[in-house]
Amino acid sequence: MFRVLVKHFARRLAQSGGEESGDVDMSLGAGLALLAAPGVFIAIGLLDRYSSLLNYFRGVPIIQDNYPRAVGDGYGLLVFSMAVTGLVTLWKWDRILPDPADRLNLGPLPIPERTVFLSSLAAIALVVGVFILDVNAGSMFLFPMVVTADQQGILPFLKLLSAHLVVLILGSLFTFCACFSLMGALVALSPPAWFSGLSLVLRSVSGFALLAMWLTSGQGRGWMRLARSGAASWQQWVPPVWFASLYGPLVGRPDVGIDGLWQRGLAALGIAFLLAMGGYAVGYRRGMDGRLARSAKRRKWPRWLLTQGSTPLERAAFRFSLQTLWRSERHSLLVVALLGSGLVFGVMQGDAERIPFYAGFSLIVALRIAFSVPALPAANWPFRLLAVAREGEPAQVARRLLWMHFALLVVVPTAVLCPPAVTLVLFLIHAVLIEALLLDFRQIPFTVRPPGFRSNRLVHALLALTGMGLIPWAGGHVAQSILVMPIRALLPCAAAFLLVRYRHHAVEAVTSGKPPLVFEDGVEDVIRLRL
Amino acid sequence: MDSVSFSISPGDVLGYLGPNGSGKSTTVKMLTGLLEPTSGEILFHGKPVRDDLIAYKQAIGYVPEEAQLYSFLTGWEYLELIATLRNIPVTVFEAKAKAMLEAFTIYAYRDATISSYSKGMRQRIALISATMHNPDLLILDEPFTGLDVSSGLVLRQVIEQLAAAGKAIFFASPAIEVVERLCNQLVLLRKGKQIASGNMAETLSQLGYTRLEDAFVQMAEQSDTAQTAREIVAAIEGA
Repeated sequence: MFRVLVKHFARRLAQSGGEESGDVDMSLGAGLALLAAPGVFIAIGLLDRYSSLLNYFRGVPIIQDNYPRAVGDGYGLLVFSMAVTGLVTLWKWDRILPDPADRLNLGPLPIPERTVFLSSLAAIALVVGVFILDVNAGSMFLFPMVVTADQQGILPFLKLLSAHLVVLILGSLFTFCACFSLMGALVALSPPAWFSGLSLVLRSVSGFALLAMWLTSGQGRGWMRLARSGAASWQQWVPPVWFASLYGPLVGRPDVGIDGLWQRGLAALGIAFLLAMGGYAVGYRRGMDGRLARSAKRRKWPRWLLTQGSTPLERAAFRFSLQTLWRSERHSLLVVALLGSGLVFGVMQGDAERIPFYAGFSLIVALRIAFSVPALPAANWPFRLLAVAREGEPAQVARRLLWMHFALLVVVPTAVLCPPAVTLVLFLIHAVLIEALLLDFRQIPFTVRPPGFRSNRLVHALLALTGMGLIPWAGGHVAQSILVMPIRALLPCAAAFLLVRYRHHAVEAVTSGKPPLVFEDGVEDVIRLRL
Repeated sequence: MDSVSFSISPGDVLGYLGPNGSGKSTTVKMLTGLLEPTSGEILFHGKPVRDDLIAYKQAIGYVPEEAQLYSFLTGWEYLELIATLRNIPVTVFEAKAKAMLEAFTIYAYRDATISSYSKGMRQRIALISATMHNPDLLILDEPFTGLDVSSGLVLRQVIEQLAAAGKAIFFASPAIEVVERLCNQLVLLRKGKQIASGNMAETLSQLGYTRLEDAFVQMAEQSDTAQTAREIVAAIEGA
């Protein structure tokens, strides 16, 4: 019985999504393979640095003792593992605890509650264990192999392999327990009415922190050196530094480790584990009872905000879209995650004047992607029954939403903090971007996934990445050029005006002969990857 | 669906009865414009509904078989969304929604998200959203599903009084006793085909039955229910 329950809870944890799922349908094998792939590529990439043959041909002096720099590279792999573990824990946050469905299905069965509790716990341990091993499956062997390739015998390889394995497992476990204990604290302390709002904020902040940590993966060597020399200050409080410090004692080279730090790491892991267990014990009962799902009353939205639009359909679709965006946790998280990634990436580039461009581009692309993730397709019947759209009406709804968020979250802060030239260029470039993204927009946001969206995912991702590089680069240059000679502002103004003014030609070319409103979510079959 | 033809007049309550899979919900989807018939015509006031689909949809109210609602909206917000789509003036909506929510005893829960509602509460929200624009034709697809006893009795009275006020009501249901009590017109279905239709009493007497249940079991289900029950009990006891 215990095994069956563990299997049930483990399957639930590993599932792609719940009731609202519809955007991602990937088998477990495909998911695990995708998660394992980056570690393999990172480890293979290190071959270039450690190969004595390649270094010989390059004329680079061959370094006999690879351990000191291997710790820096191990730090990079550790940060990757910790960040991915943390981000997936945050993403699966609401599926870790049992829910009322478990209570309904398991409650009437003659199973002791203790068995259900322990099997749920065992399932979490099993899934986390498999997940950590999977994320690191490639790098676990490749990294020690690459680093010790030039050394005699198998002992150095085995030593580094075991050290690397321990460091990765402990670091990843710490991230899981830390995220889980955050959730436990939230479950234990927050009133049910505040739970979903606080959960979103906490997940977003933790996600940003993990992304920022991920972007420090190249700093490991320097930080470890600082920590060893005793010159480090705040770096001593960076969790990956604690766990990377374990390499020294584990490979038998105390000179590459820092005693105080790895001990701090183990203590932090112990505390996080205890907090996670405590949180789980409290959250288990509240989750099973459905006290978290039964959120209390919602505040009413201001009427002026919900009555935007000139036709009944525009008003209804705008109201629905706005409420979906900020009520559906899946959609809010998607937008916050993409916006956060763009912002963190922009900040790490170090050029303050380009940050608004990273933020603006990420926000608009995130919203546009979110529009194509249906909230609850089965509940769309009132729109199907009542919506009669004119040409361009759905795009007008999406445009209003994009502008509202872009203006409030990006343009206003930029206008306050940056020179007018930056605000102007930001405004112009994104005005064109918004129109480009809405050329063939014929859906009510959040109701349907258009057929082309799924089949062209790779193209969309490549375009987004290209835009992420191009728009801040171009925006920064143009703004700089206007700052030098303000009259130059006329040129981008004229270009943007012409593009927006005559967009209807492009719209006509793209949408000619097509219905003004689509509900075609059933046209295309889900692509399943079975590995 | 094949060879299905019936008409419904103001004041009629038409029971559309058939076993599971007989095509009740498919007919409902066609009537509401969610599904287009491959052949045949749906007429409203003698004109094909396709000629002016918007006017037709303004005149109908629809309660689906399962109340699939946007669970992240509150009950009030959901009704407001439907009212906006139907272009009902705000003051009219507020007065009607308040009165109907109170009558259906869920006014106190209006600001809680639908995800926290029971099945019956969701069904009541679906009913209110289908009727608050005062439709001429009400299409109900198993509307009693999930309603508690008192709400069910109230709904039955509402249907009778709406019919008395001149509304036409299309009532698809597998619940024989409800159809028998509520409807004055009957369409009996089996595997997508219409096997009987017309005035309830006349149709039953033409078929040679006094009770709708007998007619339904013999004509639509074509099965010996007592024998089926015996088989089930035997299986239970055998296990």
